[in-house]
Amino acid sequence: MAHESFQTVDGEINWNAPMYRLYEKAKKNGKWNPADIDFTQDKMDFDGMTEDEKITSMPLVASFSAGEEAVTLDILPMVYAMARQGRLEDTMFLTTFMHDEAKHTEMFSRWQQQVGVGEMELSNFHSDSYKRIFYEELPGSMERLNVDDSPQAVIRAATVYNMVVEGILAESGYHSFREIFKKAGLLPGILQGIDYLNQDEGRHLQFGIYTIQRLCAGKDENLKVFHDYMDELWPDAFGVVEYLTSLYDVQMAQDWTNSSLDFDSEAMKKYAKRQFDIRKKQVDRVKNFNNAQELDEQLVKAGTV
Amino acid sequence: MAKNYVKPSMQEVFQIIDAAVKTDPSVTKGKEGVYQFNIKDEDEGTYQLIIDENGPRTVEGAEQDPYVILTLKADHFRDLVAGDLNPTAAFMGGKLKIKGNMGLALKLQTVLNSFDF
Ligand SMILES: [Fe+2]
Ligand SMILES: [Fe+2]
Repeated sequence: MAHESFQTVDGEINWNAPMYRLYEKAKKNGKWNPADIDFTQDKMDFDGMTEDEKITSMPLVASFSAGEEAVTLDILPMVYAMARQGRLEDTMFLTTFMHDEAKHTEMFSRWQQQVGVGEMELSNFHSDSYKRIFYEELPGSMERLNVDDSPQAVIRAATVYNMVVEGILAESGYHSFREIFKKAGLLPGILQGIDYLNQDEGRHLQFGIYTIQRLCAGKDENLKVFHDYMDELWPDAFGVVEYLTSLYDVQMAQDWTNSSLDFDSEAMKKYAKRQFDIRKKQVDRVKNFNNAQELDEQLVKAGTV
Repeated sequence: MAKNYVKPSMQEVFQIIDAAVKTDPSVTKGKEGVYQFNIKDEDEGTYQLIIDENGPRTVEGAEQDPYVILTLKADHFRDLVAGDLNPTAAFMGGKLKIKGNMGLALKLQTVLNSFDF
């Protein structure tokens, strides 16, 4: 596609664009380096854990590493769509987004390598629900943007990527990892990495919420696209959490299991459901605005971005 | 003595398991499913432990669609049955590959533990 003009030649960057402000935040706050995280204690902890305790961490690690790899590879169509639509500030923000996801993928892979499970085949921990979301829906809705970047297609892509994968599953994953290992006083390195990740994900969620909202402001039919897709994906999103908690429950129900790890499955499922409700509510706040411009002005005024 | 000790063949091992699970079906209650064992290297073969409404049993070959497939060497399988190796440790140590229902794989150890082989 040939360029007809350039924003920074005709004028300048829109310094007040919400996504430009988020880009500034990303540059400032996203400076951590996965290679700087010290996993020595993690290695010692892991070696000292019983086989049963080790295996408890495997489904989570298998979900995280595939999840981060998937979002690293699948963000490209969104970047391309924003660039094609001339959304310079959004595109600039997304360059930091991509870099963040690459670091997240690196972080988990480094951890696996350093505690000695790098070569392990873990795909058996991906349930049918997990596969439906990460192997099919996510790449499907993202790749759709290559041929269709209509508001509806962008909303669906941001819904599965930012709201479901990041907003429900990643959030629930961090939560369960902390619940299990922070409480047990184990694996400080990966827990620190997860804190960094969590901060990055906060920005990614802001991108998702903003992108969906600006396309839904004053357009109820688009807001319905978001809610319908969330509802459609929810059974599998919940299925992912249910599978992980059920594995833990089965493990703990066996009389031979030698584990001092403690985890509340029911609370975890409730936590995931709460994330689902929160994401819907966050996007629904767009009902207060008649159009995208009002939304932008309010975001800047409130200092949300 | 140990020198002349003949390791039971895989067929024999599965016959022993078959006899054991039939002796006390209460042990396999709540563990319904089709466990498939793909034995590699020496003494290769495919076996299934089927736990369903017809009672627990083992069969040679893939009689039914497996819920979970466990792939391992014959010697490791013997250790597993003898209780010298548990499935979790085998999996974490790379001696056992699992495909399919992991929950069922975890219950396997409970089944094996219930018998003195
Ligand atoms: Fe990430
Ligand atoms: Fe992310």
